Amino acid sequence: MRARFKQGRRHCIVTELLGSDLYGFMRAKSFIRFRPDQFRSLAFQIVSAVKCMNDCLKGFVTDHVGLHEHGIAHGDLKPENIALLEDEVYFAVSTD
Amino acid sequence: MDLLTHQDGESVLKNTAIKLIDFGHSESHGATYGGSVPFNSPEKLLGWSSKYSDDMWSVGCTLLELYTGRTPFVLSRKYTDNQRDIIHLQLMQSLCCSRFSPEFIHGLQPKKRAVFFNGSELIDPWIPGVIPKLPHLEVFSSCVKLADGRRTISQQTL
Repeated sequence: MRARFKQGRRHCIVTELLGSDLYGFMRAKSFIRFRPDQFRSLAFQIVSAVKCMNDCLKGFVTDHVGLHEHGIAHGDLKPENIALLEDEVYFAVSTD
Repeated sequence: MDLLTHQDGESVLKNTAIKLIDFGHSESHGATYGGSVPFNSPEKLLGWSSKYSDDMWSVGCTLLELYTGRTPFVLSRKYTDNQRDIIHLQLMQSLCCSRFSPEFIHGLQPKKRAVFFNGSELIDPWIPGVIPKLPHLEVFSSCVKLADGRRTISQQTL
């Protein structure tokens, strides 16, 4: 996450320019299945990111009304919403 | 599963670093109905509030798609919304090889509840044939669970 700001009631996040999403990647490869080592790496990162979102960000949302007890839920996790990066490992998180 | 025969010699993905995007549906507990239906957890399918456990279900479905190359729980448009919800819930039971708790069924709308109380009569006979067997990997079975309190996944599993 490079920056975040609020526009009205919306929270906006600025990230670096991201690559294709996992679904787009799979479609481009005719729904190829991932190699076991890559699957493991992706699975590990996805789980870590979701865990981080829930565990580490409880303080992140304290400025919200009553929303800080349980961390946040993404609410729409799917391959389309997992973007591939070129080089770096970052997890972008925001709340609505 | 044969994952290696599809390789064309070169690495299909050089770097697997990822970022979660599109938080348009994210909220702290208490979110309204939303998200993508095939990836929705049983509770979310019924419009209950969004929680961490719903994300864990979606993670399971996502991993299933990455592993098999197919989106799970995609249902034909020929069904009504109500029928699709029921079939979706039945597929979830089949995939998890377990049944929803009486408490969960009690929370269903009367129309849907009736289907679950009238035994396991399926709406469409083709369903049993298309149910993908949950791959025997701990990673799927640990987060694709009907009971929301039991969905967990540890980094050690991976």
